[in-house]
Amino acid sequence: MTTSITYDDKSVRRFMIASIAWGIIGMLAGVFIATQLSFWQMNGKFLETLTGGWIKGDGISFLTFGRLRPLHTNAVIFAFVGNMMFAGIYYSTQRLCKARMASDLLSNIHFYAWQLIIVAAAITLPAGLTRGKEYAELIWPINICVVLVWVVFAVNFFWTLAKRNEPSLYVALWFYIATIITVAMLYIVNHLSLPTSFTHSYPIFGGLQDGLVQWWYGHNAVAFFLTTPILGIMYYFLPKAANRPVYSYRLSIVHFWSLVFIYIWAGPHHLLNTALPHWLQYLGMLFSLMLWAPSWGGMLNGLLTLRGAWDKLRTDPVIKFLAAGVTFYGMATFEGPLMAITKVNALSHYTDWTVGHVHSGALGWNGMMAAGMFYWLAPRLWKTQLWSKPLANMHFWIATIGILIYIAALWCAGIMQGLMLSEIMPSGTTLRYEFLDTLKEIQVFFIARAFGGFLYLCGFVMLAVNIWKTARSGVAVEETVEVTLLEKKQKDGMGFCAAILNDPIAHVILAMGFVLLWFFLPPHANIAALLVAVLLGFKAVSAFRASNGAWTNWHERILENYLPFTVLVFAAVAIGGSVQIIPTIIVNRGKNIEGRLQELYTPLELAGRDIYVSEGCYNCHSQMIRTLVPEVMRYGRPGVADDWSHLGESIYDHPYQWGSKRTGPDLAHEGGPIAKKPDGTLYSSMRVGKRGNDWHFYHFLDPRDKSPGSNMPSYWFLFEKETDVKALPGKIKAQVALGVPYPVMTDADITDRVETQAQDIAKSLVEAGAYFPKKPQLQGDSLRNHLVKSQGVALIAYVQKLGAYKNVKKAQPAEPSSLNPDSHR
Amino acid sequence: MSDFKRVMFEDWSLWIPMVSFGIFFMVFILISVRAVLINKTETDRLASLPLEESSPETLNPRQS
Ligand code: HEC
Repeated sequence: MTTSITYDDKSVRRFMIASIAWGIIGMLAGVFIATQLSFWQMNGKFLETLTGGWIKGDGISFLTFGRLRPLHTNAVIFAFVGNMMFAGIYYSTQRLCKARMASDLLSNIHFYAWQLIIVAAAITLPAGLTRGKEYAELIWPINICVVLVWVVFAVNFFWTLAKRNEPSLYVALWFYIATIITVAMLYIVNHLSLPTSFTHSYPIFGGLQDGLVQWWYGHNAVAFFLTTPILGIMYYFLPKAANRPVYSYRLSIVHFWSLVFIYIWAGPHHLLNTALPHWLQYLGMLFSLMLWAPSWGGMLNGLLTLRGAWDKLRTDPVIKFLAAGVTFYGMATFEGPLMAITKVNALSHYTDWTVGHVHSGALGWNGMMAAGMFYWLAPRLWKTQLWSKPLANMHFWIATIGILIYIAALWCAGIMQGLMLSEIMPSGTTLRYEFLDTLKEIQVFFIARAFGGFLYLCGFVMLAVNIWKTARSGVAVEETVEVTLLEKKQKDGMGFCAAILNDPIAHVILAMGFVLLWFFLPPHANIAALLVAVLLGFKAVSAFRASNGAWTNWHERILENYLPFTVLVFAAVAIGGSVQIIPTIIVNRGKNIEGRLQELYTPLELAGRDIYVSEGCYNCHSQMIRTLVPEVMRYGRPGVADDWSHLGESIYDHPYQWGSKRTGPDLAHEGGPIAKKPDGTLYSSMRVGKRGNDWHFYHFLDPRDKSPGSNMPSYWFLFEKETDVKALPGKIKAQVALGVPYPVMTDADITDRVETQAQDIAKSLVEAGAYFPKKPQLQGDSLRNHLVKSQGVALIAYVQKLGAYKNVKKAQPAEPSSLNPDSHR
Repeated sequence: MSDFKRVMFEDWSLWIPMVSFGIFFMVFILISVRAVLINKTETDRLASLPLEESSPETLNPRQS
């Protein structure tokens, strides 16, 4: 029986247009913040010139780098690539399933709600409302919306699969399935948090645990949000554009399963050379290196699909973009494992090399694939010809040149700064360069980078014009096709049990079990286990012979049964995370820590910490001193042995603030001990670390005042805004609920402690002759009364606390020896 | 063999990467065997799925 089906191409058009619009906004934000790193005036001062002095200020809070970088990253990841991926998925899924999307209502909700989320992000992030974890910054009410929309998308997608009129699931659909379930898992776990107000929450994980969960998420956001859906798109659109089937379907099977299985394990490569347990670092490096193989398998499969169609590379802009995209994918996935080698990582990590790496993926892979797909789609969605091929070609070249400038500039900047920072004088006791020296040295590359990014943006504007003109020259159409309806029993006939409890799977699981036993069992018993495993292997082979090919059917049948397939994918991705995260969560508790244990923040310091998070200081500052000699020399405290960041030092940090990039110096050990009063007695809680309070005061007002050439934004406005002391009791309650061992404090205790510490700091500033240029009339007591309440003083309190720890000894020898990084080095 | 095991597994945590790798390796072998054994007509049919039902613009809508 046949019927005619009209595809929902309206949703495809909408997502495509949204992607282009958000893409331009997101990239514009990127170019803007790139200029901020070279010209501090771009943090708000430029408005003073533009408006002829009508707007005043060295920095404007919602324009500072720390707040805008999350806007840029979230916009390009979730708005640009997100919408692009939805366009590609909606278009190809309908065709591969020979069915219209299951529900127009769900498609509409998906589209509009996703755009609303993006608008909400664009408002909250510059306003300083953030969770303080990279690419997971959105506040909890928005998180809930994201999850709900994702569920809507998933229901719509799987429902379409259930209604399909083609028994087999093409490889692109596998990649979409992996995307949908893995992103759901990662997103939910990394966003678990305890709200303290409608706009603020603390993540339930802290310190090391939070770091691990974060990079399990962060790395796999790259894998399952920026890679797998685009690979699905590659497997669909590249054959379409080249008009020939994919090079090797076999390779695509191996590609899919290896990629999905390996990727999820590689997260810890973001935490190499830290005090992280050695086995985790080892695991992260091992699996990152293994990623080389499937990534390149996929790249070759894509490129070789063009066999015999290479001539089109000269004439067809679509093929040009797709081929370049796949090539950049190969480049980025070559560079990634390289950077996951511990020794290379020692140099590359925290530098702009990493930023360059992620852009060869984002601009090269995601951006080029998006452009190729849009140029292919537009004429079909509007039933016309592409408005201008030359303009598309021009876009191609300008984008390619832009990317190359971008990446090369950041290679130079990253490697140079990395080398300079670790250069030790021949005496072996001092470092050759100050941090600021290295920053000044790479300025020229920062400017080149901003220029490369600008070129890429120009190219993208050309795409927008071209697509817009194309749309204007045609009419929006919905494709209608005749399809043969499929009987229910021709697909999805396999139950869960049939999928799992059958010969091949049962044999493999049993054999794996016995191999595991071989690892653990005492001598003799282990040999027996190994023997059984081998026997099972033989048994499997003979069963295979006897079954006459029934085994090989299993995978085929899985491919015609999306539910068991989905469960298997979920199992493959869930193993990695559980093995890495669960042991760490169990072992790494405050009560298990031996050695350094973090001192709790006083209420004022906690308030300061929330300001640090809210201002996005982590976008430039790390708080993680790695176990490398030059690093300990640079950031360690004089007279403290082994002064890298021990895991216990940040164990109560919700969220962790280890950071991933050092535009400024590491701050993990910026603080110091409780300060002495002039009479020799100790203050109750005021501390002084590497720098005095007044140094920080002037530095926050205008970093150039203390550090000429610095690109840190000026934070004078923090001395105008008041600390939210009223929120503190609720926040401390939340911290206690999360396991931070605060003593019982009444609201009045909290207010008192805040008042005392803030008075001490404010007094020390006034005594040091502080002068607040925005309010020159304030002096002496009036200045002190003004400062006491300010966010700036809370932030100084926090910065002076950084790195404070006490030594704890446990009665018994500590059992988790893996926490000691020295034991394996 | 037992020396190897002692070196590798003296520390409880180091077996995790080994086991992880082992599990992956089995999955990899299984999938590779599967991929090699799959028959040619089947892969050809699967590979040409996206090329069916091409839009009118496509010059050669069916490839096999
Ligand atoms: C654009 C990147 C950037 C942002 C955002 C940023 N900083 Fe900085 N920061 C720097 C750079 C670069 C330096 C080194 C030069 C200097 O001393 O200004 C620095 C230096 C510092 C220092 C001095 C460290 C020392 O002892 O030498 C402190 C403290 C500091 N920043 C705190 C902060 C805080 C708190 C925030 C958030 C409110 C912040 N920074 C935001 C770039 C940044």
